[in-house]
Amino acid sequence: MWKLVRVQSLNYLKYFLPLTAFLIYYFTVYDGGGKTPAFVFLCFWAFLLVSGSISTGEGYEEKHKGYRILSVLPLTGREIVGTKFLLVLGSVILATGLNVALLVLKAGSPGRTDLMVMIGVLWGVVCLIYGGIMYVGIFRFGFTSMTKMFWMVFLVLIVAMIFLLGDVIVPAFKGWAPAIREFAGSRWWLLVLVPAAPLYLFLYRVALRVKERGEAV
Amino acid sequence: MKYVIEVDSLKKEYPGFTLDNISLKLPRGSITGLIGPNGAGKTTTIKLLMNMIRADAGSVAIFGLNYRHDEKEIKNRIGYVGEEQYFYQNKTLAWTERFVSSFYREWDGNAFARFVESFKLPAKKKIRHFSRGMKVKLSFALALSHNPSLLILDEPTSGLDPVIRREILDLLIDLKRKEELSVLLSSHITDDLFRISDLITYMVDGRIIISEVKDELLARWKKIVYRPGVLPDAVEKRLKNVEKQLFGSSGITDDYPQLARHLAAGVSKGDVKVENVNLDDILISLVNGG
Repeated sequence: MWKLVRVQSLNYLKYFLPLTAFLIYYFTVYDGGGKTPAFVFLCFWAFLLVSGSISTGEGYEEKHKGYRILSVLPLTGREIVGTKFLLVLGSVILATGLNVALLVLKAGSPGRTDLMVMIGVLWGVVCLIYGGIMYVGIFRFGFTSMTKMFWMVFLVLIVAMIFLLGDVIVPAFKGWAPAIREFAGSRWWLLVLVPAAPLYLFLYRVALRVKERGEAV
Repeated sequence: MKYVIEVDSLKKEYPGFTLDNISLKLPRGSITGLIGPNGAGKTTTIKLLMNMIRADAGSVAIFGLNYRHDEKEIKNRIGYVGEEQYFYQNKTLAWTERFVSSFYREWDGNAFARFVESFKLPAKKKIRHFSRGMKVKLSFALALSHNPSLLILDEPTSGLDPVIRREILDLLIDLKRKEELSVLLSSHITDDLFRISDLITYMVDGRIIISEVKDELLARWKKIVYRPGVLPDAVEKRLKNVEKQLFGSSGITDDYPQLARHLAAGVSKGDVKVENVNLDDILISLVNGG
């Protein structure tokens, strides 16, 4: 399986590295005058890093009928699906690590650092689960259908952010800010990681089941 | 192990097509030709044998193993060439060899190099610039370089020019000399199968109509050419695809030994001529339901 991970990770990196370079540049050098809210980056950049890496990898597989190529090689469904889930996990860890590091750099005060770490990690969990769901969908409906669904979700998210950010989210966050900061500092939020791991494993098993029931051609 | 493939009561249903209760055994060291018209179910059967699609019912055992528990082991011992050739088109032959070889337990790099040389395949050219014939040859080189015990070939020569087809068939004849290699070759080009097959399996409308040794099949099926009116009705009724003409009629029998006894009993030798049939004649007769 590691041979497959090695080969397929190149397709992920083709997308991941340029976008990451741009993100680092934006955060550390440009930053729009320091006015951009950090969590906007969290919502979009980590999400784009993970979903874009999946899309690049799967687009390549679809273009070359990669699953058909793999279907005649001595590989099990478990190895093929496991590879995809490992790549998503790797992307999420890298994206989250990067985001948290950049956010901590920008945080300023220690209380804010805890908050940024919490938001960064929790958003990473969201991206991880999203990646798992994407792969269940890709094995069930195919990459093209899932891409359409992705863009629909993405556009809804953008529209929601535009309408809700100034009027709802920011004021709500301000009201709850002390409680959220306290929660971030207590580290109790780390408990979210406990159900996240079995949920991701569950998605892997669903994807495997869907793949094994589906057809490679 | 006497059989490399044992298929029992295999069923697969698609809208408008059913692969119905297929049972098949492929003896070790044999070349089995799978013949049938387009849409007969040959490719579906092969996809089931390769575990590319799932059967609705029935079982497949390859080398006595099943895919549920031993997929890796089975595929390590199978070489597969399909009708369509799938590669990462932006890669070179050298990269493709490295990629494919990394998954096999045994990989004979020298054998691959020999195939590449004899097929005159360019190592550094991207595969998207390969012709269809070159891609088929590359598929064969990859399928044969991990010392497979079983070759599964799904219409590999379809659409190729006669020169390349001959090259591929000559390669298979060479391989036939290696007794340990078994081959399942699907094709609707009956001449190809006639040249190299030991056993013939006919499929029509998702069913196996005949599966037997080629020489026995050809001994059983004969074309009878006769002067009109000389055959007793009972004998003529046994013939399939009867073509009645003014100066000479003809028909095909699938039970020549028995028919020969009838002919010997009441028909003079000069009025009847017995000719060998080819696999096309049999296929047409079966498809027409004669």
